[in-house]
Amino acid sequence: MSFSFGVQKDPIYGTYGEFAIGSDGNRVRAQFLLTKMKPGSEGSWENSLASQMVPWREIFNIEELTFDELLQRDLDDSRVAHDLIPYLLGESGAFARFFPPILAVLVPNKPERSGILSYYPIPENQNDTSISFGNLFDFEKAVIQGEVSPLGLIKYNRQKTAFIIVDGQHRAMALLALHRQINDSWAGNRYATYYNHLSLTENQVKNIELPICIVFFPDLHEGNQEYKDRGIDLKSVCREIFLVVNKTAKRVSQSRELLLDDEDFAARMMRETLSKLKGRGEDTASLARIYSFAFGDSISEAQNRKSEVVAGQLEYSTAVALYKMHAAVAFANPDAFKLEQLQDIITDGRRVVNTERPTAILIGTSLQKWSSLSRRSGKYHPPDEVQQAVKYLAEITDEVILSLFDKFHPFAVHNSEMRALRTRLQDPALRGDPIQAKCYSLLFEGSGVRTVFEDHIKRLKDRKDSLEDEGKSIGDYIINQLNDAQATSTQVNRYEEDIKKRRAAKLFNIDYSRFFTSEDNIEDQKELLNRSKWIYDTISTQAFQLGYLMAVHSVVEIFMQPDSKYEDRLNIVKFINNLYLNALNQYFSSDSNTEHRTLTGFVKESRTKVFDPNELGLRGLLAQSVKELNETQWIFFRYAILEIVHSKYSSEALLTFLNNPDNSSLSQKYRELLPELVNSLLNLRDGYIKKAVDSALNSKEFNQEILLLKAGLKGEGKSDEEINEQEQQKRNQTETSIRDKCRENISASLGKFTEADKIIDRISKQSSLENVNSESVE
Amino acid sequence: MKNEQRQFQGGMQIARIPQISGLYAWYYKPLLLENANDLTKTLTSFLDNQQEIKTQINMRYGVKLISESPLNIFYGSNNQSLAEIFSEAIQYGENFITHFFKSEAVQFFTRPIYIGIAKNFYTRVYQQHYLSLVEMWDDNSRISKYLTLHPEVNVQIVMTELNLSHSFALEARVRNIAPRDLMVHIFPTDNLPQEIGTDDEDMQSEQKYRRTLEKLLQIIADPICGRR
Repeated sequence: MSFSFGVQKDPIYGTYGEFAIGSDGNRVRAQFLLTKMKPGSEGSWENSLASQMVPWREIFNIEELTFDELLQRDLDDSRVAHDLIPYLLGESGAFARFFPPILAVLVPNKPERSGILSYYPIPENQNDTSISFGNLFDFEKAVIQGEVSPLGLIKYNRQKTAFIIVDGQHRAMALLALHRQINDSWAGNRYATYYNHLSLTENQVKNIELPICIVFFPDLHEGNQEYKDRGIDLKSVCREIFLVVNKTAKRVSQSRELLLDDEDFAARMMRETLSKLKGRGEDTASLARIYSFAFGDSISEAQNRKSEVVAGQLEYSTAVALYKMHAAVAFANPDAFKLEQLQDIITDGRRVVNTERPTAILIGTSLQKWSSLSRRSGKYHPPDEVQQAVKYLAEITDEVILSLFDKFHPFAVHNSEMRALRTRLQDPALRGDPIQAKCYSLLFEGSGVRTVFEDHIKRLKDRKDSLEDEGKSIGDYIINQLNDAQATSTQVNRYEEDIKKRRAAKLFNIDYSRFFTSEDNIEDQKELLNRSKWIYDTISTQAFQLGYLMAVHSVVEIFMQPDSKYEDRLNIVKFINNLYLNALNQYFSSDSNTEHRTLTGFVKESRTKVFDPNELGLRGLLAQSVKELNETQWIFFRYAILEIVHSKYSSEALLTFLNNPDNSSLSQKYRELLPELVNSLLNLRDGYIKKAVDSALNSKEFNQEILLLKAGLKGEGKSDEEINEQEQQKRNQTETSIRDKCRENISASLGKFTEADKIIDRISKQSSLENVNSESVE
Repeated sequence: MKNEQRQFQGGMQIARIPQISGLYAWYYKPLLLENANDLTKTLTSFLDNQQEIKTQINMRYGVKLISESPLNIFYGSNNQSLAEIFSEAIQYGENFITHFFKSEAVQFFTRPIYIGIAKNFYTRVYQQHYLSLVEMWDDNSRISKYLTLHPEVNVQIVMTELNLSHSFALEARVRNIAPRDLMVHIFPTDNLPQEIGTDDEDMQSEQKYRRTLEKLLQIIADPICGRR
């Protein structure tokens, strides 16, 4: 029996059943067919089904992928090739070779093949025992001897359907790999290299069958307005099942959970930002791109754990960082925006749940009717309103953070160097070379790819070692694989080193080719890279990025009234953000356009050491009391950024912007609020100096010194009074020298240890550019 | 200049309340007032305090006669309910009423919702009042969950059911007053007696002086949610 003529449909036989997902109001009926599939070349329906277990990465490239589809993405080929397949083939010594069923949802492909459709077509010919979704697929219950049996049949159109694997994507990949390997049907697939060492015989896979449960949702079709109104579609139910399955089984990693979380507004806002980064046009090379953000599992988590963000990685931010930034701006307690508040109350996301702040932000929009908004209420409001709220709330963070990534000079330099490398690697000649093609994938297709690759090398090595230990021959394939992988790895490292050199040269206006080809300036090369490393390593930290974001928003708050409108806020955010970015860019750029061939010019200025803890500078000031840098130090960076933008080095840009007639009303307001701002800034500065003093006076070494001094004096027969006097003197001396050191640190980065009235004077006067230039440098 | 600010509304302002001692009073001052009906709803929930009279007559042989009856408040010779008075007033002067509630007049012409004494406004008003209220508004808080199930309950029931002590935040949450619609007015002073003790919520009932002073203030200011 066939419902649509002229459409080729493949059958799947199995046992059917039904369940429901979702909570009371949002229940969705799910039907399933429990069946099996097997790799092989017999051309059976089970073989066909195995060939359909295609991971999404083969259909879409990462810049097109929506984040709903990302759950299919980070597939660990190395684990599949080295753990799952040997287990399936019975090589690992385990007796029972069985897996629980793979869970797959049958969905319609988009005609242009870039994603899936949200709904099935309206069903036709529906009766008690069968239903047909046009040329997509049909489901029928088998009638045996006049009775409806528990057996069922799905007939699906291979061209128009896809299977979203919500549970068991690695098992499915193992099966697909075996199928392709035996049928030799990889057809130039990039990932084939992970599996090519498997030499299989028909006999080996003959007995491999895996259970699979195919799910579809008969009510989620085009004609069902009810679900459309509630925003329930195939993507959302897949995500729901994925979350449920993975929550009860193994814990899903944080970034993964965030990509899928629908309840948390901050997670939705993060996805909004990532979506803005995707599919950016080719015209501006300096724009930030999606490949500079880590959202694969392992890297972002490793990054999370690390206090200093990933030295050596070219990614400069993460999905998790974006998530924290959104949570902070939209849901932090008001205290977080007070400049002189020194407690970190934003990096522990669980506590960032202010219900009033988002409503204050949304005043003046159609959503001002919400008198409170819980962060985890994304599922409890109408979907279109949630979407709007996400857009509005995300915008005030994106405005700041995306322009930081796009326009802040060091990031812009990095972005264009990455873009240039990408263009070079896209050269057809290079793409033809397997190693270069692999490099491209490792550098530009997301951090998940990279981790899997590194795992792969490790496993190959382990395999080689264990074969050696057992005295077995290693086999050409492993050796070749290892050589290939190592060659790729070397090549990728070379590209990374090259990017670091190029961006350092460009940042400091140095002629890359002449400087780095010279052989007698190795020390200078090292120094240049070191200068640049501290800048890049610092601006890639969550601490710096949160610090910048919060600097802008804390100053914005000084402008705001309780009933200020959303549009006004956004305008002020734009104003402060542009003001500060211009100032920072002047600070982090050379004052002259001359391109140097040697280590001279900007790189030699003391302000370039602002983030180097081992040199005199603001980071050095922090190092006097805090050694380790972690995300809670965003408070320090908020302070440091305000110092930098109000410093003499940045003042030309600051004044030019403030004096621009287009900004006159906000500029005037800025100048009015300046005394308050500068007052807070100097209190903060004093606070860091005091901390440095306290830290020195309370240090073990210093107390030891005091004890020695006292003992010595006692030995000399001095009276208690004299001893106390000497001790006090020693303390005072130390305090003075620490204070001097602090002043040196501050002057090194800011050009001068400037007092409040001087800063206010410099900025308040409308035409004071000459005055600034005449300020002497200490 | 800034230190002379006496009124604070919205988290950002309240977070900047000075860290000094004095008296404070909370007022209901809706930030956005699109129509007077919302106002009616909130204000009647304040003022229409559900009361109940319970009589028990003990007779011989253990027989008891118990009567429980709700007391509804009516005003004027026409026996009008509060809601009727509001709707009538709005009918004649909606513009005036919305204008009034947006104006500075609120704190002179309306009763405060709550008044109190603070050793430190920041601790008392921002941390203990504002932040707890904001937390209570979270959908995942116990109170929000309870109120979703029982929208019509009064403060006393919530206190008993959830085993909570009386607080300003609770009063405001149960009456569905959003944090942004609250304005706090302060009277800073150094002259508070030493004996009023700390702002610590649990300790307050122990402080005799504080209680005496509070009693006096409540009698003269007659706050809507006073501890009567």
